[in-house]
Amino acid sequence: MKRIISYLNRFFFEEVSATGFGLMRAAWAFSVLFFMLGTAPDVVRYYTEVGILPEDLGYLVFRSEYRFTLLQYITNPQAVIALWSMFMVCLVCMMIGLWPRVMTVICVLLLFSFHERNLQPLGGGDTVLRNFGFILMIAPEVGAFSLSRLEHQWNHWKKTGAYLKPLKTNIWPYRLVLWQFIIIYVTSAWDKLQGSMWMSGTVVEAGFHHTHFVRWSKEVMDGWAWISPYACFYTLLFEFGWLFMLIPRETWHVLPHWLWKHSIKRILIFLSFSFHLGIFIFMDVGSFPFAMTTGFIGLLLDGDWEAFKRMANKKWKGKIIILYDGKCSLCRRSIFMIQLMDVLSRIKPVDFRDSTLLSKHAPDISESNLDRAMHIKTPQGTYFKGFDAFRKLSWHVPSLKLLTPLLYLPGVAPVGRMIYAKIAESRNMCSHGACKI
Amino acid sequence: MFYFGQYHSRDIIEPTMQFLRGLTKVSIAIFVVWHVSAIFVYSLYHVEGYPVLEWLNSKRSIVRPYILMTSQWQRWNLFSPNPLRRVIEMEFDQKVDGTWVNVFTLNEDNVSWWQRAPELKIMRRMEDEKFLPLQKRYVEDFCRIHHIPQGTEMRLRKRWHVIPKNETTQNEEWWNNWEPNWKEKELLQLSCPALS
Repeated sequence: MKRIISYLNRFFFEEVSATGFGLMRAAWAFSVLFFMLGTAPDVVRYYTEVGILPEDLGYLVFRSEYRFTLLQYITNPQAVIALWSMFMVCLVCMMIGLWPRVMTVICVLLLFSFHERNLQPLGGGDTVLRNFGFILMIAPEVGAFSLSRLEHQWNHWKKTGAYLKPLKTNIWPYRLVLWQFIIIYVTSAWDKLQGSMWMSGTVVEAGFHHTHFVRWSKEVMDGWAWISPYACFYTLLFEFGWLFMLIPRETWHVLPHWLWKHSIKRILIFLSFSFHLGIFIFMDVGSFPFAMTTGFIGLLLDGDWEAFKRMANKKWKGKIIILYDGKCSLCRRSIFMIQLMDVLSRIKPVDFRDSTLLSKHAPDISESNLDRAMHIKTPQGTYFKGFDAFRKLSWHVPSLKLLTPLLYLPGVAPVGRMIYAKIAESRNMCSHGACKI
Repeated sequence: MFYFGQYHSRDIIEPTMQFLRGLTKVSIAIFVVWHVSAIFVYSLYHVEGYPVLEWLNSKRSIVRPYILMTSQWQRWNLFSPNPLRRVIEMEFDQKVDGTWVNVFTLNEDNVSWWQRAPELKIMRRMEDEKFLPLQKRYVEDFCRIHHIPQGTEMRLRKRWHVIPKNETTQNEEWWNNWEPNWKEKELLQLSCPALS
């Protein structure tokens, strides 16, 4: 009995990283914001009494019971526009993580309200967003990757010089997301088997000629029709593959070694993501690929982040040493941010004002040189300073990687060096978090 | 520390807290099982001939209030059992000097990319004859947003074709030679209402 209780306790309440749900919160808010902004010109048409669906025609569209929407009570077009605008602001707050818990609850309830007001424009992606939104709303911890958390981190770091412990949460919301995926894919595959075209492999070529969905010209789609049988088979295979996730981890050892030595979940996420990427490239099905990707992020647990780190660091050895001025508050703040973003653990900051540390890590460079600009030392022993150091670092910090190509554009380097020099010169004027630059 | 008679407060508070923590955990676990079962039962279709699934499907009414109240209704029939092969577009005609003049075609070419999915979905969902009041309202809304004067006569036509259902996949040449067979039907005529 004790073993059963312990197993159930682990099954529902095991502590796991809250990173996935924090990122999922941001991705969910981004997806909803992006697609709701698309309805900006149609807010009055879609959601008010003067639009295409007044309440008195609702009997043709709405269910008659268990339906709740704020827009039953707010019907004036101006008031609806105001509510919609407030919704957009809340989504931005939710995305960046300003009061993440409250904003998540408000945004999810507002999404329900707008969706329930008019079902006509809704597609599968909207349903997925509602499903995952509900789980986010009831999840105990959605604060990772938020401004609120950043503020806590900063205050703690200032006081102790250390970061807060990684946020943890119970595993049960993850289980709800996982179950939602199993339901989506397996019932969808089951439904496909009831027709004849999926088994004859002709669905994709028919879909490629439905002008409501295709992104490219008929000539282009004609040329790609040959992938139809392969795509149909692939779809059925990976959709039913999600049934593997019902097998308890404890019994995986009975499967062939080559199968369980890899993470079946990661394989399924990869296959499913590739499928949705393929749909996105060829067809316009609204928010569906975005909504599903949002859910995949919520499926990532500690082991998955570790595996990602191992894969990214496969050919990487050593640390990049950042030599910074420990007496300058701007430099300390920059180091705080860089370390926070160093998810691949490739960076080691060293305060060059500490002579012991300096002689250990960079004996061949003088303090006066270091005083002029931030220096970094690669594991190969090469030094970079100022803007060039930042550019080099950007290769190793995933959240800065989008910037990296821009930093190599012609003309960016001289301007960057100039701006950097100006900031470095005035850095000691910084105090209490404010700088005179 | 407070004393309650001969008992130390810790002796009461600790077990009470432990009990409440346990109760919370049990409640959460029951809720998770309930939610999982509810969305499973509500997502089941095509259960004929499978007794267990039929039995589960018969329990839909139990989970229905929860699923609907929490907006968790879902049906995953995307491009299935067979994909949507019917392609439609709607023509908006305006009577000018006694003659019908086409003023707008609602299809993928005439809506912006960010309105494409929702607007075409609306069109597909009001296509059926039983949705005549929705079609009428859509045309009246068209009058409103295009500031068409009150009393102007409007006509809505539906054009459609069906993508062939092939038994086997066809090569590029076959698709190159394929031409859609468009059909047409008038859905309604009305006079634009007063601008509000």
